[in-house]
Amino acid sequence: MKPVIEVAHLSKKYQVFSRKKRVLLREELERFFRSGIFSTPQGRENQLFWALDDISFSVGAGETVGVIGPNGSGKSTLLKILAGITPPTSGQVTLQGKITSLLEAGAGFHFELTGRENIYFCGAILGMPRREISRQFAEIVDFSGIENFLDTPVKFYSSGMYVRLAFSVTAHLRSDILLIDEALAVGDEAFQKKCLLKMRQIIREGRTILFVSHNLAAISDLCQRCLSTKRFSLEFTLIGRNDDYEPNWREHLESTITYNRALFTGSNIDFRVALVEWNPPAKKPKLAETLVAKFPFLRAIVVAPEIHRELCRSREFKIMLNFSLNAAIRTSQADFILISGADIFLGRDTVNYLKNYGLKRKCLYRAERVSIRRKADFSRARPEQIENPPEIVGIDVCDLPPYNQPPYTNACGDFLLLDTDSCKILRGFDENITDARLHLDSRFALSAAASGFDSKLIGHIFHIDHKHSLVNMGDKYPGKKYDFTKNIPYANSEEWGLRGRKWEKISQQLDFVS
Amino acid sequence: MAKIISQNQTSLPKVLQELWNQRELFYFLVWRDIALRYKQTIVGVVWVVLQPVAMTIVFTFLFGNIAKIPTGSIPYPLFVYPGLMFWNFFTRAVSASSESIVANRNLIEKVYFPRLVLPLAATIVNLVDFLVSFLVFTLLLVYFQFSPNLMGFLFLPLALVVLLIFTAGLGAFLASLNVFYRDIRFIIPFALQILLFLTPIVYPANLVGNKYTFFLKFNPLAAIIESAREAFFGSTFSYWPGFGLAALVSLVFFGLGIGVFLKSEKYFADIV
Repeated sequence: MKPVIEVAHLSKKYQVFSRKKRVLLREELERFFRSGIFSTPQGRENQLFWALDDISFSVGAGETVGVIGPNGSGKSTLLKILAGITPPTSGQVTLQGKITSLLEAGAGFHFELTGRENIYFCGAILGMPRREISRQFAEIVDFSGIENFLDTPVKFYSSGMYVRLAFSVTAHLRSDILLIDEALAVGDEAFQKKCLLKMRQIIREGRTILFVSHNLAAISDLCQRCLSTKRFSLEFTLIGRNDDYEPNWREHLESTITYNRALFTGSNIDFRVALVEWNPPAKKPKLAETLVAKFPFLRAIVVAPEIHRELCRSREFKIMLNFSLNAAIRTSQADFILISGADIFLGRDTVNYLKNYGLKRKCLYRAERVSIRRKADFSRARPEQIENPPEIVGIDVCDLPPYNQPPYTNACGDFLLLDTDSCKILRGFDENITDARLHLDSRFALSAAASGFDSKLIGHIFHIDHKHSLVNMGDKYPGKKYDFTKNIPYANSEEWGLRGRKWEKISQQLDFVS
Repeated sequence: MAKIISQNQTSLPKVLQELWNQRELFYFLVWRDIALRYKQTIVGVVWVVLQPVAMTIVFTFLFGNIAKIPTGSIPYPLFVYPGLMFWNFFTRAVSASSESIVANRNLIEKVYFPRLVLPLAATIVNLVDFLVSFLVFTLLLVYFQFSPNLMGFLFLPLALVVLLIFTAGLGAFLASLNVFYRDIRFIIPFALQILLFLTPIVYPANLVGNKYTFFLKFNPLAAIIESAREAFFGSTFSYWPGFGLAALVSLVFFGLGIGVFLKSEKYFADIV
């Protein structure tokens, strides 16, 4: 289905001091004569403010979408651009159907005109034909409850009457797309309830609504999803190996990084990579150094062989995977962390979700893992090839069965997406686990659930098949029952993520832990 | 039908299409201006009549009786009145339309509609006043028992159309300029005062020395007023070339004014 609103690479910049700078013709002339054609563009560039920075999303027919973000994040600017009030600096919007903006209830009202006159005038300004206004007139008046003051100039209205009338006019507009900016919650409590009821009715009518509000309760109540006008960063976190576990490992890793990053070009998401190189062999050049030089968006943590040896020698075998991932989680500066693997190609449905739906905090996003046949050359793989059905050899369905029921371990690996703060609240993966048969991702998901986080399945990922990917370890050890409810949420010590170790900053992108 | 919003969004056919689609808004704006103008006044619409009549009396006293400007066989009030009719239309329309965008900033910032309707409506609404003052003109003719040429009544609508084109162009231009430079609102009253005396309203054009008539030719107001006066009171009508030039100049003003307006209108909401 064709989207009703399609926003591509939309940006808007304002010149911060332009108003002060340009009010007087004299100053403008002075500036022109003084600097002439030699006026320095750089000096002026400094005063630019990007209200919207390269945002892209689409909204389908009949969807109710909330626009969220802190003050000044460009929410209103976005609506103004969609309404045609102000042009974008770059980018494009494609709209299907008639659009109406409710940027401010009563924007078209004139204080000297009577209620009746204002209903007609305001309707005309918002593009409602006179016949249509006449047809809806009784309903508008009835909804606002100002029958007795219909022929009184609006300036004599109480502020409550004023907003009630204003909301009534705008709420009765006929249009396919409705843009609403903080227009709810007007009047007294009873009228607010009436407004919300009216909004629900509009939503049921199947119109497409874009809804900006600080009232998060209203947003989550009315909207099916949210989108953010702010760019956010997503750190693809993985472990790098430098042994001969796999031939051409580095090339392989490079191609998946390139592939996955390309899926995010031109979106609101700043896709970064965090790589932990565990136990680098002394004789080979460090993997991290090569990759850091190649990818400016990649940061790497190299963990010295001594730590590996120490952990292996401890009485209970500690799983180094957990320590290495935790080192990346604990030091992450990104907004969201995606714990994944070097053999993962993100599915386009997953990426579309990330691009178009606002990611919530305290919600663990997961994806179904599709194993695909190993092919010789992944370096130039295109999504169509990766996601081509004949190449698929099996699917891990991570939603079923539930994590906390037998066989426990059938989780979907290599895709755990959570906001960084929540990751840090969990203190990453359990570093006390000594039993490799536990699926680490399941364990993480369980702790997230036990901490009261939501969980959501958002798409697919494609995993280069290696032999044991579909082995159900729960079946392999039928007699053993794991109590997943015990010690959940687990708590790592303060020293989690190799905190107590010696951290050395080799370069902006590279840390060395020993 | 898909609508595309991008950086360069205005094209003339699109604007015309939009204006046509929103013609009701145009009626409403004109209606609102009329409805608002005489609210909370005691004499109401009488002001429309009072103003040109008062001006005619003052000018007749100053320029007819004191300065004794020669107007031939025509009584001075009758001589000065048609010019004032046009002049009042022009000054009111220019003042109102140049302020139209700034005065409606709350609309500009909050709602989308073709911005051009604002200055155009502010210009057109003055036709109502023109009509009323024209009725007063016919009463004056009856009072002075003066019978003008029929040609005058036929020519009047044509002159009015040219004046409308000139005024609309100038109004749109000043309206957009006023958004960026508020100096405009100080310049306009002052410029209009000067223009009143540079235009042959209170005096006939032939009073101006040959050296300066050249400048009058490029003042569409001068040509419109002179030709209308000739159409009403002259023995022959020989003003077509001058009037044609005025029409041409008006069209140029119109094109430039609307062009500048359409070029700059997308910045209105950000700057106004």
